[in-house]
Amino acid sequence: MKRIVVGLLIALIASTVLFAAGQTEAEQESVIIYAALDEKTTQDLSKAFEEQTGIKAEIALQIEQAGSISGRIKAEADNPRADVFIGGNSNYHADLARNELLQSYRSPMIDEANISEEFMDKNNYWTGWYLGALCMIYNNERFENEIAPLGVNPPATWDDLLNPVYEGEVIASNPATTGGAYLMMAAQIFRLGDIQKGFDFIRELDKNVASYTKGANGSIPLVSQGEAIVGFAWGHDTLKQQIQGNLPITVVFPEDTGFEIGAASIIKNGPNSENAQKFIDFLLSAEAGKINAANGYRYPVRGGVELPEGVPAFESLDFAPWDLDLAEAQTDAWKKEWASITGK
Amino acid sequence: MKKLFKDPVLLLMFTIVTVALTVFVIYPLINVFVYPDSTDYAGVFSDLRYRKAALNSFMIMILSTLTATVFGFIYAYSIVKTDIPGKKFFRVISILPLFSPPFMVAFSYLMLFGKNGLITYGLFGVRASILGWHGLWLAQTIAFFPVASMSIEGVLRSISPSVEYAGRNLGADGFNLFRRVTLPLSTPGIAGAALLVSILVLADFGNPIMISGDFSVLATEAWMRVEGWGDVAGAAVISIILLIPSVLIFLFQRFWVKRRSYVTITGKIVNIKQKPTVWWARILFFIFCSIVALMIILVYLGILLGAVVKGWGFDWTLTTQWLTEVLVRGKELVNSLVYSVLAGSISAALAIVAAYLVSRNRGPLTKYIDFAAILPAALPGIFIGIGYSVTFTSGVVDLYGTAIIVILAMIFWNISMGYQTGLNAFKQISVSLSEAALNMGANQLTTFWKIEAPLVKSSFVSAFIVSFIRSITTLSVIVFLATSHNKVATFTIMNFISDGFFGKAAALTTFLLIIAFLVLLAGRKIAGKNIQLFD
Repeated sequence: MKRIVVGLLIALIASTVLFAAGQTEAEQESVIIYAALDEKTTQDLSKAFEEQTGIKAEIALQIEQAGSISGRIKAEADNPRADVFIGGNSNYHADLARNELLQSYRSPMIDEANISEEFMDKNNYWTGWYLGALCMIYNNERFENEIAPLGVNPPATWDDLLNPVYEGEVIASNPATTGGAYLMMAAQIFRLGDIQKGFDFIRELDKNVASYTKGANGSIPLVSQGEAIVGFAWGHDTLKQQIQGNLPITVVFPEDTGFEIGAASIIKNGPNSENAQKFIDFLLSAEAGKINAANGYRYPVRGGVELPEGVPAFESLDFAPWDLDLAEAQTDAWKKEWASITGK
Repeated sequence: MKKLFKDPVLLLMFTIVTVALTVFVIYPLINVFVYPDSTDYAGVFSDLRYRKAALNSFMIMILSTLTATVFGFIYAYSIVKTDIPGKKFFRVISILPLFSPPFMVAFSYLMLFGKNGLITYGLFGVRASILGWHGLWLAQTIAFFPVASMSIEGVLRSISPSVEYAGRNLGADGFNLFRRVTLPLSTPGIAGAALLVSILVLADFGNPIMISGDFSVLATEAWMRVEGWGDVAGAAVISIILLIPSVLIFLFQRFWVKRRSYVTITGKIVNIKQKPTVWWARILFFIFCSIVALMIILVYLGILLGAVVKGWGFDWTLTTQWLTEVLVRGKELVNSLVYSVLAGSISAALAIVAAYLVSRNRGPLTKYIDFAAILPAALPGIFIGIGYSVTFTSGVVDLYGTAIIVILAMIFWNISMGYQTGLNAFKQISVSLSEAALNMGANQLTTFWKIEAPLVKSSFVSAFIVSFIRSITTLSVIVFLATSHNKVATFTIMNFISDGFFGKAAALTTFLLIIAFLVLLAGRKIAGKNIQLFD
């Protein structure tokens, strides 16, 4: 018995010492990353950054749910572990900025590469580095068999979704459950240029909606599955799943569509704030843009980056005028209005 | 207490169990209440959305509990009290869902019975949406009726046929006998089963996340609070709303129903053959069981087929692409297996020790251990997940993203199951039994090995299996704790489904099932067929 206890104690001490030694060894220049991106993109970005700068980019956390990461950063407020938070739409970053958890930084790359101010936070708390456009999708087989015979063309504009032939066949998303879906709702208001008109559209659309999904991209599996005929989702996620999963859907980018800004931000009082700035600069480089586009089908904010096959050129898209600050400020009011219209 | 200090091993056991239960059950529980501040509480309570989700949760709880219990009762009655053919087959089939991830039913039914479902549309040309409360109702009924069936089966078996014979002799027959004798005797057991099911339905996360459409329930709303808005505090408040009814139902079940259970005392067990069932009743029972069994088999067929076809619903070419892809990635499956084996064995061991201490000692400390070891049975999985995520991911003990936090959550979420099994086992080992052995000349050690150890061994194995299966199939507990480093198969399956990768999701589910069934078979080999599963 005694021998076991002594043995255990020795093992414990030895492991603590080894652990401590391991800690000190990691004094090499580094930057610690929390990524709300897919695994491959994150790894490729980290590798490219290391090669370019010699600074070790450690992926401490990678999970596609940006909300989980944002929750994590809030939990670590007193003792931040990471330096940068990359990926996830600007909502999550703006929320962290409001909680005073971010460090403002304006990358010189913005001016160097002539990137539009439209994609940047006015107070520089977050940096937009890619865009996702809102798209419509429809199920090929069900459209051909059920809708086309009625003499209806494939959906091309937002108003096409109001056609009564789609009654009970539209999948939308619920702005109360996720920030992404909230932006999709705001897109209608911005597109129509008027709050009242925007909610009128939502009221009309509600007549056709079969289900409001909890996640912003909930329509992709359901429309692919044929549970409904049409829906809308983020274009980059849809294209990726359609191409990789060979889904039986068609992706349409309507005129006056909405978009989300994929952001990156520096966490306040992180262990390597200076390297974090370098990482933000790197995200705005052509190389990072190419990695991101190739793996995630996302549009880099800087022009002239080669896009994977099947992705329409950024210039071919037509966006509605966008007012993120208004959307931010009106979050509670608009969510409430939406709920009273849809009864959800 | 004096005894404690004389016996250092006993003291050590008491210390370990008390500290473990306090730190990993009681402390996180309190923390969930303390973590949100007043604005978080006000925010959730004033939001109509959550009031509605609460109402929905209770509505679906009542519906699903009702059907699951009725199904469970008829099913169990058919197996115990009638002479329909294929009873053994029906019994085995109804056990399967207990060893499968609970969300599996919803996932499979979405593929089979949706608007484009293989059966509804493919076979019958019907386009009916399965999304919403009705789909959830169906999925939960099939997912949870086995729990009711198994528990009611035990009750029905305890009603001695001789009581029914007495009823017959007094002039009751057929339906009258059922109404006047069998049903009243089993009512408390049925109520107990219903309450057990209602706790599971209330806490169910997997089925609603897949199939409930925009019918929102508390468990999924809590997750969306984090996933959609990064608001852990809000999620904690929602999980508290879910916790309260769950604990109340649990207490009610424990202190009210259990006291009212009837035991028919007939002295020696008489082996009287049951009277044959009337032919038409036999046909009805057989048809009922067949339909229910078919609904279960379809769940598995749907998953298996989903795993080997290229694109569900549009490309039926057979492929091994999904199976190899998830096997090569493999990390999730390995994590699932390793975490669950560790959690299962530690949970079982700790539970048995706690049961030993409680059944062989008295005092306030044992009452406390009893309370803390039973409590997790009343805690919804998401509550445990949130509790661990607000308690052990900051400050001094930061276990965020580690395997340890997932394993700990699994250990203590499941400890009640092993604890109950252990208590029953120690109750059976009468002190007079060991005294008898001692009088016959055996020494203390022989007595322990020959008398107590064999009984404890089988309860350890069954405690291990239950907590292993619950660990490897849980989604609700780990969803708040998973990251890229410690993700397990169920989490990845959920992500695959929400990304529309049905083939990969089905393939991963298939492997998960294979692992679960292999472990179950191994357990039965070791412990014999009498392992007690799911109280």
